[in-house]
Amino acid sequence: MHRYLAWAGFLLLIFFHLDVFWREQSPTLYLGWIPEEMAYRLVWMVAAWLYLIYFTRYVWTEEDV
Amino acid sequence: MGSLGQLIFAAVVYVTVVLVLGFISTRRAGKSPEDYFLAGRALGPLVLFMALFGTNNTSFVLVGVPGKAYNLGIGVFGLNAAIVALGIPLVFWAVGEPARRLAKKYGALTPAELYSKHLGSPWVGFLLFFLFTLYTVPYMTQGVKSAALILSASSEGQLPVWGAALAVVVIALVYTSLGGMLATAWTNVFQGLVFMVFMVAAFFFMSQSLGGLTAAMEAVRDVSPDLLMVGEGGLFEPGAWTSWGMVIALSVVAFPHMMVRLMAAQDGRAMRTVITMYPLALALIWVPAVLIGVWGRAAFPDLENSDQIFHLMTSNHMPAILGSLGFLAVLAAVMSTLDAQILTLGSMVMRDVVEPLRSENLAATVQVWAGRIFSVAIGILVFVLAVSWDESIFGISRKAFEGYLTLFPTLLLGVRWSRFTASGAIASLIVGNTVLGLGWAGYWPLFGFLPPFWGLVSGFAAGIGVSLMTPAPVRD
Repeated sequence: MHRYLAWAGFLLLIFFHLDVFWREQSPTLYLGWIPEEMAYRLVWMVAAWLYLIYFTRYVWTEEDV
Repeated sequence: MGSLGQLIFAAVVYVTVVLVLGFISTRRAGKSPEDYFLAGRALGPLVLFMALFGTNNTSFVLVGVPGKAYNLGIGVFGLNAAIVALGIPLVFWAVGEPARRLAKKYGALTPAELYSKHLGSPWVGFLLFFLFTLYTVPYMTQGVKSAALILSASSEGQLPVWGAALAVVVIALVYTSLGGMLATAWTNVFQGLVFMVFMVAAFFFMSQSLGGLTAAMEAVRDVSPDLLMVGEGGLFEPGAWTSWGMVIALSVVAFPHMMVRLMAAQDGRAMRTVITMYPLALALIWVPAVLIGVWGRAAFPDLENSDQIFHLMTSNHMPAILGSLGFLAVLAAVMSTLDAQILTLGSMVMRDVVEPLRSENLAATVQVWAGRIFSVAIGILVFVLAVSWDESIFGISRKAFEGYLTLFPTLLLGVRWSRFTASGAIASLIVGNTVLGLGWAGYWPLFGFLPPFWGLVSGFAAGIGVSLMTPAPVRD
């Protein structure tokens, strides 16, 4: 179950990383200084970090012998 | 105190700390090659993280990335930083973790030795040694070159570029020779802290100097709003974006100096900790690195050599005492990678080339000394290239990263696919590198992708195809 979820999460992250294929660009600044493009990537990185926490806890089950 | 005086004083303090750490590590380190080259396979979570992070982040991030962001804008962040936050931790798990366990089982000290023993062919080791060295030399060169440029600029030209390059190479050789992996791991903790703290400080001080975060960013929007978006053409084309994502995320585990650090991990728990810390630490230094370049475009709009922007921004938009120390951050980033590269290449020549060709084992002390002598020879070559190779920091790094990517199929399949054979590995390495070379030379149809993408695809195809055509390996 966790392996399927991990694959789905991975593919979802890759899809959102390849946004150059489908996302419109704008020079908007969030909070007055964060470019929209950088804000998008930072949110993506937080999602990747949460994914890795999930991954190390539930998917990475190999232990040292 | 003049600029050269400040520079020398700061450099002496920095070098003293590094050498003291190296000396202390020498006293703690054991005498066996395993102790010297892999710190006895006992690096715990924090030291392992700093050793990996310090080694991974070199002047490419501190000098090359601001230079690239100066020209291409904020898109450089998404092109590089975001995907590595996911890709690097996952390849640590996919390749690094099984490699660590197998290296312990075989008593292997180098990546090439591990794959050679696991796949049962010295030719795999010879080929990997050659390719690791081929792509590590330019990677070392960009580090020494950028440190030399920054050092020379910080001294306002009083210290020539060649002199600065020579100093960087000699210092790294000295403390690496002193204590081996344990010395480089502990010095990496110090060096990593230096450049991480500096980059965070640079973010706050520079934005303040430019009138605040909003003013700094609006100045960029006034000069060129395109810099606040992903650009068009070049690496921002969808095919190139996809290719580069693979290069920057997957090639890291093919850096031999990263792989040996993974092999030096104490256990799986240390690896897991590293993986969860990586994305946050990357954001911490990549956000300032990209913004320095973007803000720099508004502050210094007509630069011919964009690699100068880090020095210009730190010396003009930080408090004088901190700004003049900008070179220390670069020096720390460069040396924390350079020492690992010197140590790794030194161990590789003995374990991957000399040892397999001899019938009897060499004494441990002979192995360590032979490694040191080879390291000096590589140091001389890197020094010569650093003062003569006329290409941008990003450009030199790119050559190395693209080459490393062709090793990824062998490194992954070798530890994750039980049907993978030595013939498959050799075919993968030869075909992948041939296709990459043809792509670089313009003789391979790219269909919008970069040459390394095809090097990777063809490497996988050849490795899998040839493995299936040759007898299945028999392993324990």
